[in-house]
Amino acid sequence: MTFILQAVSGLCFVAAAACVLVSLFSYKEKLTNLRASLKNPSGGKSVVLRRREVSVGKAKTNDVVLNAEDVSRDHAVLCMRKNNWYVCDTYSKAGTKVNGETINGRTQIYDGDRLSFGSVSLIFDAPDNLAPAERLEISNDGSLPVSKRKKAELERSKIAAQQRREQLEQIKKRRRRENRLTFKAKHSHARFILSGLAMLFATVFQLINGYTVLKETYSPQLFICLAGIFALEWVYFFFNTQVFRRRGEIEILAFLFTSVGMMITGSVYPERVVMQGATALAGFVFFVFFGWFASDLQRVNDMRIPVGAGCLLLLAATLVVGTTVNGAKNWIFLGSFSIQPSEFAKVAFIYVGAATLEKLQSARSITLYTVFAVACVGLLFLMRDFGTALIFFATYVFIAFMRSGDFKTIFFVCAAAALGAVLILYFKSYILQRFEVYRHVWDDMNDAGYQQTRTLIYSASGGLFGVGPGRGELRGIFAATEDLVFGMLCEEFGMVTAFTVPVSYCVIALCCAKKAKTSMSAFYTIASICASGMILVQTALNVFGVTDFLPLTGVTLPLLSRGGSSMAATWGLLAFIKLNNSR
Amino acid sequence: MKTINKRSWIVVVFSAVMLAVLALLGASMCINASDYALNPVNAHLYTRHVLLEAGRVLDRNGKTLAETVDRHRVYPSDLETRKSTLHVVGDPYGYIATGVQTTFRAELSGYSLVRGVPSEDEQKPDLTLTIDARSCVAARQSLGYNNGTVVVYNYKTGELLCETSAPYYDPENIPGDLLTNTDMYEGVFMNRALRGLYVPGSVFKIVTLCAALENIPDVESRTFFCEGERVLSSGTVICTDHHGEQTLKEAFGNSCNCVFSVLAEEIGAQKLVATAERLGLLSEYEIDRGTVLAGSMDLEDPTDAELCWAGIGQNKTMINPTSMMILCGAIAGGGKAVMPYYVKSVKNDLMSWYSARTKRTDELMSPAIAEKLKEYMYNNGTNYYGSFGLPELNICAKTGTAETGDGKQPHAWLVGFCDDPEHPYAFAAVVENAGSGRYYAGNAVAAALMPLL
Repeated sequence: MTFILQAVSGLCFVAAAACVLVSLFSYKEKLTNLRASLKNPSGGKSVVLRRREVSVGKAKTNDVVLNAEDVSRDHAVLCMRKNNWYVCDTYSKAGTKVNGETINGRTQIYDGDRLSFGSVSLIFDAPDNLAPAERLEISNDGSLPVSKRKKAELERSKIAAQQRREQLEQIKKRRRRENRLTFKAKHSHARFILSGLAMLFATVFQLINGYTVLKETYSPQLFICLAGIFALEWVYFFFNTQVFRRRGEIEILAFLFTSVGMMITGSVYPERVVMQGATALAGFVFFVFFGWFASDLQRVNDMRIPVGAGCLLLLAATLVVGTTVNGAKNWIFLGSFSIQPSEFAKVAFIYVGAATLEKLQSARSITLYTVFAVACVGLLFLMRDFGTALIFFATYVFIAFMRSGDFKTIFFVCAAAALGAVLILYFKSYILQRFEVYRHVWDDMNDAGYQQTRTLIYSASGGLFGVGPGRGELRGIFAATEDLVFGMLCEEFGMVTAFTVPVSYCVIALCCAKKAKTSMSAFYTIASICASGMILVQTALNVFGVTDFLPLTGVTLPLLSRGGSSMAATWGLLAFIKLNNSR
Repeated sequence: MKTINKRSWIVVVFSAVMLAVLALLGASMCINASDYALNPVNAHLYTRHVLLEAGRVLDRNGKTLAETVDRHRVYPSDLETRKSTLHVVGDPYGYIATGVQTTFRAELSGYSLVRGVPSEDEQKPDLTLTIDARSCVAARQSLGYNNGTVVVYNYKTGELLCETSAPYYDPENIPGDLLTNTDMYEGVFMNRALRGLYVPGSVFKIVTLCAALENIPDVESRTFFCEGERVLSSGTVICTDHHGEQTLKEAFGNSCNCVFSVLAEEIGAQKLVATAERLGLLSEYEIDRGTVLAGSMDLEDPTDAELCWAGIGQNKTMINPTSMMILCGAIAGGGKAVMPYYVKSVKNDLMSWYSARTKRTDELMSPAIAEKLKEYMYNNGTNYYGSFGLPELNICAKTGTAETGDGKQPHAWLVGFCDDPEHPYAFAAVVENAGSGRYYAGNAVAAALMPLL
């Protein structure tokens, strides 16, 4: 009987994940028509602008390639912010002009404006971006005397301005209507059915395992948290699909994983599960907030420097007022409340690293970001939080590649890092001990290989579907709910469920790469790719470390491991991933 | 924009590599699952390194040989059964590497990759052996104070009926000096039936006879003369008696060293070793996850005396009793032997973890040679050994009295089979440092067979 229940719940878990991932993967995003193009004034082909960020220059890598002597390789960027178009010169030699005036910094452009990139002139054609009434030029009628002319001009301009305002109002209305229509067209019933099925399977899984875990290790805190997340996910699902007519796939998976993590934490540490639940809720609120926040790329750009500074300050503060737990000084205690700032720094690290195209092109080298990254990694080293430092470094490689595409630099960086790692191992021999047992855990199974061997032994004990939450033996071992959580998953929920987690993260990353083709902004692409990369690196270090496929580094498994800061931070990373999927 | 979007392949590569490694990890965990789960530190199954969460071990008649009662692993109430079945049943600590409590511990615990460890209240599977405990007791008692082993199996079905090994100890009251008293308990954890290697002595003449029949034309029509000893350039072969003129069959019955040394010389070292190899004596057998040790012969560039001694089972030749028994099974079975097994099934009311399958060896010899060897061995049994007091069984056999060269009494050997469709049993017995093979090993085999009739 136990076995049948476990098997059903395990298969439901897989089915829920499969529904979400299939739905995510199968959806083909169509580029929205931005109704903007660049026209050649002397006829010839016009170039339709399909993304919110368009690069112009001589290099083949640009979206609009201009072949003229005085056009720079990366000359300028056109970008659309909140329905308005702007042009930014990106340090070109010959400069960029709008209607004959050389621009300095970002300049808004309107329908009919003449853009000159060096000697090449193009007409910006965007019927939805009419110039405001103030900029209307009234034609000079020479037939009237000066005094009368002025009055007539004023009259005409008033009428024209009125007309223009009406026109703009109409465009606004039309846009809103179109947005609603495209939502409905985009979200066919089949896709809602998949989401609904995923919710159904997830619910069956949660009910079966919730029942078991409460039967085995009842505590009112765990009950409240499980009931809370259950209610939250259904309310969110209902509003998301029925009211906002939005798809919400990745969230279903996140809720499912979070609830499993909650069962694991709550059954071992009932007194800490409330905090875990609260931070999950905070993470979820951030997730929703950031979805709204990032829709305005101007806002995103403006906040980068404050967030970066805040991140460094937070890490530095930890170094000063932090508390050392298990060898790493990465905790700040505020009364009974404790946070791990390095987790929040992960979100900031990606936020600062991702950038919109005009920012990327105007600061072509990644020197400034590299300085920031070195500062972050250095602070983490001083805290002796080497696992997190490694994650930051891997993420830096992702970001650096996404921004520059330059293999040489990245190779150089990696080589330098490898050299640094060797030096550290040489001087800090206690880290080397971890590597000595690597691939020899069974030879030293009661000492250095203790955690890995126990993880393997109890993982196998669970079989494919697990012994049931709360019934495991690994839970008694140090760091079972954090570093060894993959083992607890295998033992109590079964290998099928356990392997679904890292596989899901891999598929999510693949989806991000697929969606990048239709991404509207470089910020969305870089943020989502690097966030999914960071989750993958963390998952790989956790899962492979504890099973002796990699040396044990002691990092957490996103959403599953106990730890409020980590939970909230992972929801933050998911917000970045979601950016690519929702627009 | 398009350039940056294209760079997202980096995460595709990363997740593809990760998926591949995950597949590897999954495969590795599935393959090693039962090894991992049955590690003695697993608190689901073990208590203080004893596999308590395990089913019963039963003999062929349903007698319980080991079970868990009130969180203790207990053995039969009578001491003789406990001692006599020790090496087959094994101990809870895994000292006896070939015992079923060690080799079948995964099945006994009810573990499976799909279901994981069974819950505590679940019924654990029973392991049924093909061994007859009464036969084991009788055989072991007949060994007296000597070390040694007796094995009997049904050469038609492959069921091992008797397998006992001495020295032994009582698993219920483990002696305090078990690990320190090397005089008394040396090699106590070794199942001599599977892991013992002995100088074969005259039982090896079956191999020499087989090689002679195959390689020397008209060997059966010749007569041989025995003067009691043969003086060779590098040594002397001494016979047990002055046998005079004999046919091959008589020489086999007399176990005449002179005649068999002549045959060995005529066959040659290479062919003698090749025959022993083909008859399965020099290679390993796998019986229910216990490995039968391979025998060995050292005949690289032998002197004439070494070759002659090898032909009569001395020199440096070492042979395992169970592989001799399988050879006898092949002779009885017309050239091919049925492989022995002793674990019949592991199952409970709900599902089965293991059930035995009959396997056969390759053809060890041609049916004609098998028939001939049977005829010679039958002649031995009836005309030379007095049928060991069991004339109705048509015992075909060969005794051996193997000199060990350490000043002690020789090892007593007997190998053979019953040419009786109702009792198709092949056997091998070694009584260490006892003396005459016909007397001591014969008694042991007879004792083992009695309860099976």
